[in-house]
Amino acid sequence: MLFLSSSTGVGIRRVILMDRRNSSGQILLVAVLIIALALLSTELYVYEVGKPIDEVNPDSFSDFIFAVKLGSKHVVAGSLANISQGGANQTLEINLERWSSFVGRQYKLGKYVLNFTSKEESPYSSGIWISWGTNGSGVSGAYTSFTLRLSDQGVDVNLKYTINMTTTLRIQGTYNRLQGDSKEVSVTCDLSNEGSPALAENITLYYKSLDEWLIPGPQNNYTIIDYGNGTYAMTFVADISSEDVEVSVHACDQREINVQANVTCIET
Amino acid sequence: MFDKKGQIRMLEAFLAVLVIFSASILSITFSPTANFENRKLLAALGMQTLMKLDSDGALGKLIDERNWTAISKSFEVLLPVGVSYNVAIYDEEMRQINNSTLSNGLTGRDIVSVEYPCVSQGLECCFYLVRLELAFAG
Repeated sequence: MLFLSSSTGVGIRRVILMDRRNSSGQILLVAVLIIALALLSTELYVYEVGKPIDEVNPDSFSDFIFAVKLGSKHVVAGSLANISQGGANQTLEINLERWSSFVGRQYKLGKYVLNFTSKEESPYSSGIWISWGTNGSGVSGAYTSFTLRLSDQGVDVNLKYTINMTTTLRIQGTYNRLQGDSKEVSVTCDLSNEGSPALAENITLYYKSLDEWLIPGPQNNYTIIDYGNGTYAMTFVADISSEDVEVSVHACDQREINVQANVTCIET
Repeated sequence: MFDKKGQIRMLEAFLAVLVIFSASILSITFSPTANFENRKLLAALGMQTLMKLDSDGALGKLIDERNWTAISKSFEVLLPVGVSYNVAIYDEEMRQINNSTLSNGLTGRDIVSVEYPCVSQGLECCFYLVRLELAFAG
């Protein structure tokens, strides 16, 4: 095109000028592209720089710590329920070992170590205290201390906490003589969890007659009043030849922890 | 000739402004700070929901019973409207045990995953890992 239109000097200058003018648009487009690339790369840079803020989020491990503490409480409660229903005392330590290993495997952002120590001081043995006495008081309890060490990115946490779980049953009994060996017996029970009144999942009363433990039924005019605050009042009428009226209450709280208490009723 | 040149210049300027504005809009939309705040909120919401459900051992009990319907309903009640979720439950050997989908149709740009170690408080302690995925729907 240059050769065809360049017959005179004026024609050549005009074509060169037009060529420069046409290419100015291309330069602008390239400039726009460069600016766009610069903006995009700045965005990417800011985005990448912002990412570590998320990784060092302290909430991620504090939430995990709360979850582990709650889980530890459930392990202790479940183990105590198992032991109070005839399981071996070692159940608590076996379950805690499993729990410690399980949570250690789940935390992937750093190192997580959960150690525990079961209380061995009297009245505890392997962290368990089961005392179902004949003095009107029964206790099923567990006590374990935990040490939690967490190493995350630039964060080291050492946390100690204890879980002390106790289900207590206190009973009192009185009786009135009726005709012959017939006696009207009244028993009051108080159930508590960690010292606070607790509701029972189920509660069963036994009385001793001729060396045999019996459950009073409708034929004994058995009644139970639930006061809704962990206190239960039970009455029944039975033929008990012995002078001592012995009663036993077996209760299970809402954590499925069993507790028993025996008492000799007082004549009124 | 001059009029056409002016139109092209205007077009170029318009394109340049468009590029700059779109970059600004993108930077606001995808800003790490906004994403981080949303993710933080979702993670806290997820963990609070799981802890509330597990506070009395109910979550572990429902998993023991394989009562997936009740678990789904609990999440629907506890999570606010506008939050979509998906739940996967794994046993101690990390095998997924929920054979039905526990979800209200997880949708959203930022999906946050919360992992919660859970214990069933029954006579035999079973350990589960609950993975809750959350997103602001829409």
